[in-house]
This record gives sequence, C-alpha cells and structure tokens, in this order.
Amino acid sequence: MKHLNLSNSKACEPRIQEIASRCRIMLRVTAAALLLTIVCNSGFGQSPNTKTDTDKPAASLDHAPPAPSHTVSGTVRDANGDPLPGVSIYLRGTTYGTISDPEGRFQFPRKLAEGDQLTFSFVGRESVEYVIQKDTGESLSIVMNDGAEIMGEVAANDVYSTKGGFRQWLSNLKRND
Amino acid sequence: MRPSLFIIASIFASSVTLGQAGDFSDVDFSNADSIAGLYPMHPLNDLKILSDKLTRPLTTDVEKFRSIFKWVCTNTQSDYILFKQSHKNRSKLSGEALMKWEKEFSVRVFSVLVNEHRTICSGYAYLVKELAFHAGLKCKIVNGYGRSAHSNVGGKGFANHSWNAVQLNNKWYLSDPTWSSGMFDLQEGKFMGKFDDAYFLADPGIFARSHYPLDTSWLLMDDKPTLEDFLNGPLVYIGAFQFRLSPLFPDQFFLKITKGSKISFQFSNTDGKKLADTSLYIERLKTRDPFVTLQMGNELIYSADHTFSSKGQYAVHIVMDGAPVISYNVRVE
Repeated sequence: MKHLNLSNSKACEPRIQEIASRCRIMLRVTAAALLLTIVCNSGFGQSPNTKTDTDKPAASLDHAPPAPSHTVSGTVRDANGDPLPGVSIYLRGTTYGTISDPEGRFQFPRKLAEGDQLTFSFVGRESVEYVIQKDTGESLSIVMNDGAEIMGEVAANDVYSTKGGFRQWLSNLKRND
Repeated sequence: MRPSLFIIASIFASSVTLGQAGDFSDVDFSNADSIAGLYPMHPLNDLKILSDKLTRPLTTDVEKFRSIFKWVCTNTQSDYILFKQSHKNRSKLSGEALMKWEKEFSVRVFSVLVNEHRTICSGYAYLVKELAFHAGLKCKIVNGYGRSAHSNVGGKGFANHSWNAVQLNNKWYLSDPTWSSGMFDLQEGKFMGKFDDAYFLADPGIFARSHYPLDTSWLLMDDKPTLEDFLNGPLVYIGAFQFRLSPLFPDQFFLKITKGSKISFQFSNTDGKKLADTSLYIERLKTRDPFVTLQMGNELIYSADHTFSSKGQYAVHIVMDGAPVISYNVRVE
C-alpha cells in the first residue's frame, strides 16, 4: 500500500482527482493534516477486459465498493473427494485466472473483493461459480460434479414405416411429385 | 424455381428465427451468426475463452445465446458409434452396472468431444450449457425422451435424449442443438451437417410432441400432456417445426378402423401462411391425396380424406415439399 502525506490539501486537489479516478480511495482526515491512504486494486497498466472502477466517479466514503482484500486459495475435488487438476479458475468478467495443480490446489493470483465471482470449469464437469463473501476464508474447498448424464440420441432422416426397423425416405418418391 | 417453393424459400432466406412463437421474431441474428462463424473448430479445452469470443461483442442475451447455439451446431458432428453404444448399454444395463458403464463411457464421450468435435446429444447440450454459463446466461440440460421414427413410438418409453432450457429476459425457452446441427443420412451412411433453426427457441406445444422431459416442469406448458400422450400422439418431424404445424386431427398415432372407413387428416399452421405442395401419402398403397384448405374464422385448416378399402397396417404420412412432416399408423380390420 502506498502512503502519501500531503501538507497542503488545496494544491493536492487536481492530483487527488486524478488518482481518485483510477483507484479506490479511503480518506482519513486527521486533526493536523490530510492523510491519503491509497489502495489501488489493479494498478495502472490494465487490459481492456479488466473489471475496474475507472468508470465510476470518485467514490464517497459511504458508497465505496469493498476493497480487494481476500487472498483466495483452495482445492478442487470431485464428488468422491479426489483432487481435480487442470481446472480453469477465472474471475468473472476478466481474463484473470489460474489453473489447479496436480493435487487440485490453486492460489488466485490477485486479491479479491466481496462480491467477486470466481468460476471453476473443466470439460466434462459441471462448472461452479463461487461468490466471495465478506467472511470468505482463505482456503476454499470446491466440489465439481459430473458434467452430464450421458443420453445417447442423435437425429437421422429415417421415416416411420410399418415394415419395422429404420427406413429412409425413398428418394424416387420426390421424382414422382 | 416453382413459385410455391420460392415463397417458402424466401421465408427462410433471412436469419429471423421461427422459434418460440413471436417472442424474438423481430430480432436480426445475422450479427450473432457471423460472430459464430469466426471461430471454426475452436478448441474446447477452455470453454470460457470460447464463450468470451462468441458473446462479448454482442449486447443482448438472445443474441449471445444465438451465437453460442449456432457455433455448437455448426462445429459439432453427431457420432454414430457413440450413439449405438449408448443405445445398446442404456437399454441393456441397469442399477450398478449401468452406473459403472456410464462412468467410463462419460470419460470417452468428453474425450471424443474435445479431440474430435464429435458427440451425442448430451455432449451438445453440455457445450451449450457451459458456454452459456460463462456468458452469464441461465441455461440447463434437460433430460428426457426424444421421439422419432426410431424411438419412443408407442411402448413404455425409453429416456434417451438431452436438450437445453435457457432463460432470456426472465422467461424460459427450449432448444435442441443436437437436432439443429444436421442428421444422419441413412442412404449416404453418414452425418450430414446442416444448421436448422427449427429447434432454436422452439414452440413448447410442438416441441412437446417430440421431446418429453423427465421433469415435466420443463414442458413449459400449463396444460401438460402425459407421457402416454407423448408416446401415442402423431409423430412429427423437423418439417412440423419449420412450417409451425399443429396436428389437429386425429390426435393419436395408432388408429384402428374397419375396412371401408374414411379418415379425415387435418392440421393448421400457426403463422397462417398458405403452404403449397401438401399431400397425404399412404406407404404400402403408394397413393397420394391432396390437401385442401378451409378457412375457419382466422385459422386456415388443411384437410385430406382417405377411405381405407383393404385390411392391413399402413404408415400414413403428411408430406410437405417432398418430405414427411407428420406420420400416423392405421390398422384396418
């Protein structure tokens, strides 16, 4: 976390606005001076896909979104408790993600905030969404079920016939139209 | 091109859906379709990446779903061997043996899907569901009975099929990606891929004639048919969806009459457009009766009669534009 100690608050205003427009801000006013505690959630070199608050006006104290403060790690397993390696774990709405290791363990590479949605997916398994709660612990235990009960139907161009079995539509019928 | 075919062809020339009656009939899907066309045979190992590519450039949920649906249908082929093995084992095995087989088969199905883009109905439905999940759409796999010339005609019913339900603008819709991707041509002996939006956001009333869910709340109908209604109703084909047909009479598949009796076959189409080239074809007799139209209020009813003068069992087909759209079985005693 960066700390900026500014003695003259008026001269700082334009700079404050600029910084405020990029990061979340917590303001703490002391009796003698203005102390800005700046917490930047994702830095300044962001990709266009990153979920950020750059579109929002400088937040007031009452409406500030929760700061990303959760370091989230955990293990992904199947319904039998066996670890699942290679599971893709993404922060919804971004391209930030990671993959579970051979023991099914993962650590998310960025701090997460309350309300952030993590998706867990692996082809053949049913994807899981996990929403970071205020009291989300450091270590998650995620269970992924089988992706689908396998039914086997396909479409064919067979037409009902009393003769039994499959029977295709006779192409010479079209010529008799 | 004959004028009648031209009229029908021009209805399909645009990308406007003919699915669930009216809800999205004003939507132009050409943008969604062209985005789906940008990623032929895109890898399936990370579906979030594919979903982002298919849906992020689109702004409405229905277009996102269309892009996903179109991509799955046009980049996945049906696999005949998996179909045969599934059919054999699902009908032969039960209980623990079925569970054991399914566990191994499931691994194989997903392996073939990822490596070869080939699968059976559950693979298609899984792909649609997962791609929709990553796009933030509520989508489910619905399992149940699929009805066609080779399955679930009469009998006790064999749950063999998977399709999707998706929530758009707080309303649920039904889709079948497997049947929209093409079909096995039994003469050619192979899968012919051909996208048809007949089962994209389908009308629940017609859909229920060929798809009966294990959980009947997914019929999306207030007046629900029973499983027995489903197994013994008139058999409908893809044409019934394309032309928005509703069989009116008879409402049963198996018909039993005495020699010399006449049956009147009637239906209407929900968009009211006049359909040409419709006839009644009796299989063993190879006879053709043309349909006439009757205006009943603001409904156009198509009607054709046939007098069955010989004993025996007959497959009766309502044929439109050269292909059967509805079939019946008539036993004459």
